[in-house]
Amino acid sequence: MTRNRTAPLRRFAVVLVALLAISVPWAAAPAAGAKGKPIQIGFVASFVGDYAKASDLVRGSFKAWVKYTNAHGGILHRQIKAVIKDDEGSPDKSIQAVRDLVDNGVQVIEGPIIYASLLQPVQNLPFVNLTFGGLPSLADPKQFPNSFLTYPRAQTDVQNITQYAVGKGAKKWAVLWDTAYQNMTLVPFYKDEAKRQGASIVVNESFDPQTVDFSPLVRKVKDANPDGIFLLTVGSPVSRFFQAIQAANVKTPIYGNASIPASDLSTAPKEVLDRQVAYSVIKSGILKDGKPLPGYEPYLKELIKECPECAVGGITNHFDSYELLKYAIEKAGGTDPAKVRKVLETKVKNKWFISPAGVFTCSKTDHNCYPKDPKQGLGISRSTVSTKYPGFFEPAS
Amino acid sequence: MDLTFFAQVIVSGLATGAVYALVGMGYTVVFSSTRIFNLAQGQALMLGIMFTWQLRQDWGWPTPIAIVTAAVAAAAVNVLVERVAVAPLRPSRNFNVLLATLVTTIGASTVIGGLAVVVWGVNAKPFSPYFGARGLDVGGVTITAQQVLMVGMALLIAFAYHLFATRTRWGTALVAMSDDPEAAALRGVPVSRARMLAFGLAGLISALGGIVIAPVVFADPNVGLDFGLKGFVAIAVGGFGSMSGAVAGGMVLGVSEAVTANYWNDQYRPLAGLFLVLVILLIRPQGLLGRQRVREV
Repeated sequence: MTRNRTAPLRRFAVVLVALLAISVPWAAAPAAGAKGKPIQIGFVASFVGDYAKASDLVRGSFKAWVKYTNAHGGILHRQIKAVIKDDEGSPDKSIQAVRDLVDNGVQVIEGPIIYASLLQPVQNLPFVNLTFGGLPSLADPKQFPNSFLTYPRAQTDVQNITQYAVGKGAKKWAVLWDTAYQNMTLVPFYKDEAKRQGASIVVNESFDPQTVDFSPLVRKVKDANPDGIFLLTVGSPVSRFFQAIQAANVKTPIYGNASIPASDLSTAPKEVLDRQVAYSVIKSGILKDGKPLPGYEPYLKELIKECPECAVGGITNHFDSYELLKYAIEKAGGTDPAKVRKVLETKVKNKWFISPAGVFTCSKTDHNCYPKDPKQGLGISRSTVSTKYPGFFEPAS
Repeated sequence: MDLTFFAQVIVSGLATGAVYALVGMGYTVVFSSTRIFNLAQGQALMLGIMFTWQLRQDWGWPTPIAIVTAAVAAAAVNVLVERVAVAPLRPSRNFNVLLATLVTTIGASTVIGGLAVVVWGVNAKPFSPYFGARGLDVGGVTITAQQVLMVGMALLIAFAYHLFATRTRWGTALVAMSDDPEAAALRGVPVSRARMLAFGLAGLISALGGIVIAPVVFADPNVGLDFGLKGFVAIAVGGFGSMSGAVAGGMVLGVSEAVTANYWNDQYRPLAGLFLVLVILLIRPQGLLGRQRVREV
């Protein structure tokens, strides 16, 4: 009887190859890969109320980015799962939305878009959020250890438009703001800028965004005879206010912040829009002269598919924020909030994250990551209502 | 005090108050003939807005046809509310119809509001103005065609309803029903049909209120509850069961809100109505133009 001496070796080799074949995908997966489960990224915005239109635009950009990124390998070879929550324009629901996301295992969140500055009650939860609200308190890690600001500062917006107005000869200002939290917090910047630029505020009035008839407010403005009106509101009140301005035949220039172009203005008087309105631009549109802005070409195709009207709005900054989050997750090897926070607060291999807008730098004492000297974005636009996308402003050429 | 500014505040308050009055008149038409509060009345206003938006802006119908169709459709929904939420309830010794209908009409309101959100979405849609925005300067006070429309519609409807109630057989029947429905039935008033008529007219009136205010509140499926509440405050102030009281109550509410917002703080605007009701209940519980009903037993 002969015995094949090589048989045990062959069997051993087969078993070894089989074991290797099974183990290779696991070994190839990143350490923090958690068995290839999708990476969950939360997104909180207000899809109800006056901020709905602005939130729709940002959601469009987020979904386009998720699709594009997933089609190009995801993050750490894992697909991204977008978990989108609607806070219905309510501060309480915004906090609840963040709680729900964290309870469901989401550790990184984009937003909330409007109420990020009210997230203090949940700062002890394990999450990191990159927010678009430009309010300064958000950049203070003592108050908001989990939040990082990835948006141009609110002061930048105010400085931009007030300097433009003063350049046009506006030295007596009417500052009108709706009682929404976001606008309320902007008013002190106008006071600071008035002092700094030698202007005076002759009307400083708040109004309920539900106001049906703006004629008394416009009367007050007319009586004070300012040479510039600063309007801090978003959504339907913008059109109603412009109608009252036209009814009272007030010709004073109206200067708006970035909220105005995010409002549906299809019922606003065209004469007022064309003749009187200018607004601050603190981030560029993804299209410039009909072509994609350099650095943002990859997202444009998905964006136009996902949200055609988004290309008109200035949303490049949001792509910067998503890319910053992707960078932080990759460098942290996962979504562990402590590790993500550490990456955002320090240089990795002596480098910061760089977007087409510039270098994003945060520190342990300052969570304002937006480039201190942005390469693009800041400007003023006098715009007309888009004919292609009714209700939207289109940057004037 | 700057009188021009004060006059502007009053004009603004009267215009908004006129719409509260139209909703209040809707409540009054139903209450004065059936002794029932239809708490779905605010939704008739909302449906007036949404149907007009759908027909005029989405489907491109001519404005007058869209308005008439929308008002009639909203009136029909109000009749349906009567058939579904009110008619099946019959009074008995142990059953208070008034209390029961408060619950069933709130239920109807919730269902209508919910369906509206399903059909039209939760967000307001811009509603094109009926007129140009240019206003008329009257001694320094700006008056717009939109404001004139709002006040004019309220006065016109109050007058038309007065004529209907005093000069027509059906109008007299509704008045008779309010005094004693059983006696009215014995005298040949078709009570069930008359009640449907009351709900239909109430729906029509409130829908017209919605249609006139639509360009300023936009096509918002969520406005029904808010305006319904304001209309109720208007009749509480003006007097339950009185058409002139509903008009007066609406106007007083509108003006007090405008004064509060412009001379005090805009955030306290909602308090104006509550404060007003409190004061009226203390000093004149039957309302400004309401009459105390005395029944001999």
